Amino acid sequence: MKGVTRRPGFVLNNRCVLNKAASFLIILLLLLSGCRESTFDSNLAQNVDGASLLRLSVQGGFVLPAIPEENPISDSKITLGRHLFYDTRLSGNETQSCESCHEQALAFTDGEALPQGSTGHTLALNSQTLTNVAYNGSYTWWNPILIRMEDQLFIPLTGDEPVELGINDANTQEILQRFRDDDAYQILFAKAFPDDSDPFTLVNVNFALASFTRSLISDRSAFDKGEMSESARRGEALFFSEKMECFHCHNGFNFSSSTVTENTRFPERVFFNNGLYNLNNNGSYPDAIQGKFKVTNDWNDMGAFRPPTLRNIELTAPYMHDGSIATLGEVLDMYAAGGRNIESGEFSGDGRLNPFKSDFVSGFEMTPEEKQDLLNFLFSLTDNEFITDPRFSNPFTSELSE
Amino acid sequence: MNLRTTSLALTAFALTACGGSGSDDETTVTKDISLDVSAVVGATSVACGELTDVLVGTGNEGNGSAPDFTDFRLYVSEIQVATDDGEFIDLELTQNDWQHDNVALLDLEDATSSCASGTSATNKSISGTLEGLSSDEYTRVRFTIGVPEALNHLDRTTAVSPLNIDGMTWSWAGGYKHMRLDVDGWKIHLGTTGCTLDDNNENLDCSSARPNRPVYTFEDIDTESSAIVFDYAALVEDSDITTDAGGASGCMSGATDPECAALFTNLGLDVTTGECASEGCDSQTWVRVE
Repeated sequence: MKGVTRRPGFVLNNRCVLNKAASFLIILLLLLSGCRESTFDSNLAQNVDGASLLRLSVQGGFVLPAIPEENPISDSKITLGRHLFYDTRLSGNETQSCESCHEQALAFTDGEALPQGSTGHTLALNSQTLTNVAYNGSYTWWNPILIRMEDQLFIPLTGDEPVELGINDANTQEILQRFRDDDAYQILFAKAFPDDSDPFTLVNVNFALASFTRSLISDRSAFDKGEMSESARRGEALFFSEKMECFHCHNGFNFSSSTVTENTRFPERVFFNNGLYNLNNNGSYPDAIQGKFKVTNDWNDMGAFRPPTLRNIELTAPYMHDGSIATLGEVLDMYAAGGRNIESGEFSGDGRLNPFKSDFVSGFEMTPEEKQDLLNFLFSLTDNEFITDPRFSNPFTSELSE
Repeated sequence: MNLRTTSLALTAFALTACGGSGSDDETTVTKDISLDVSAVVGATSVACGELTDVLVGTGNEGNGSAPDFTDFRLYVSEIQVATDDGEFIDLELTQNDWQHDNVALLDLEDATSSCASGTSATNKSISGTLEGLSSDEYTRVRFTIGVPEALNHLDRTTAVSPLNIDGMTWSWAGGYKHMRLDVDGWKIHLGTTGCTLDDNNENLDCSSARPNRPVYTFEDIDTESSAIVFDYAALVEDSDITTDAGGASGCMSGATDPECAALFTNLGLDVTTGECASEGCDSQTWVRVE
């Protein structure tokens, strides 16, 4: 990757024991900081040249996400993308923006089991968090070959089955004209794409949205800061235990085994069946979404979905690819049971016996105390600074922070 | 290519009228041609909106139902012609907004009525140059429906027309919709499915994919008056376009989608492999040249 420099400074891994000198330095830094922004002291965090809005916290210790050469990131692209993200003029009928399904307060989800597109189509999949989406090994819940965010973004922008924002071959120019006619956007587009004689293109919209979305990095949770309760620490130990096996699918700094960084050379793009369904007792998932199977047509991929990050999981209910589990407690119960048995209705079937289920979803004993410890651990991944960060907020209702 | 010197070829060369531009070899012909294309529903031309006077398929208790077209676009590629006994030679497509490399987009919707998501421009012909034809009178034509593998995975942010049309891209499958024939509530999206990532886990590998690119050959055609006709009624003859038993609404090339089986049979394709059916792609029943 080009254009990246590493600023000198130390990056702490919160899972290491801090030595006294480092602790002292941290305390000193905290004492010297007068406002929240100092969390991102750029002398200490990694930065991309020209993209100071993409920030990594010292405590999180992340490495930078991979940024494609064809869409280098910049502050002006991030700023344009942020405006477009929150602008309903981006939808064909001007009723929805990206925010409609990705609200900052909910870690960029919408609280719905299944969202509706701008023309009323109900989607088959739950709105995913955009937390750390720059690190996704693959995009969408189930697709193993969508590995560039820019490719994924065309789906909400121009998809027609179902319609989300509803940009299509007939209205693309009309939509772009809305921005071309807007004084503020004339400046934003010109700054973001200074080499383009006509920067008002759908590709540039896509590139700006990708740049903003890449900046949505959540690395300031209690877990990152080492501010976990005793219960949460016990939960962490359970999470990483062979008894509960959680970490096999939710591993690494992003708590998703489908994670890549700029240093990744051998990407893992994993998908798992976690035993939610077992239609006809042959392992089938409901027709609407059958996971990776849709691409591979290989029954071993039936019901296989990408494990999402668990960061901010407290905020992103309801859960699963189809929003079919309401609370995090019920999710833990489901994994403890080794899957979900649906006793009646059109989706009846014992998911615990799904022949394509991951070996890691084998069930476990869990005391009420252990369950609470696990929940507290998951709650420690909630990043309140992320969901209130003015860099990510609606620019039309809040003051620009930059 | 095996060139044959016959009096017919020489005569044909002498009579070349359709933009024939001569030849370096007195035994072959260079010829600019334009193939007309039309889309019909039985005896009625395809048009956007509901065709209330035509009934297709098995719905409505076998009486058929009226299609309400929302889209009708397809890519054709690798177009070749041959004389009665000659080898097939490539039609070199004129390079323009509708034709790139060896692929052409046929656009039979005009964005009116229920096709409001489409493009107002239409394209109902294929143009190009034949070089090295042994006779002016070709009698056979062959083409593929779909974007060839070499062009099917372009970066859509940089691809040129007609491979940069959003409605014809197919993000989830990593390629294009080879063909989209949509009626309200029942859509046909034909495209290559089953591509995976290669060993480096970075680039698409479609060597084991279901190509879903039917190749059709037509014989005994009339060189001067021929037109390619796509008949939607024949394609959905064995389908009920008012109901969906599972999978995508209609058939979006899903190998296990219950709506795809009958449709793929009429396309001449094997729904499981995406290759020509065991009877051959020419077992198809919906495209003709007349």
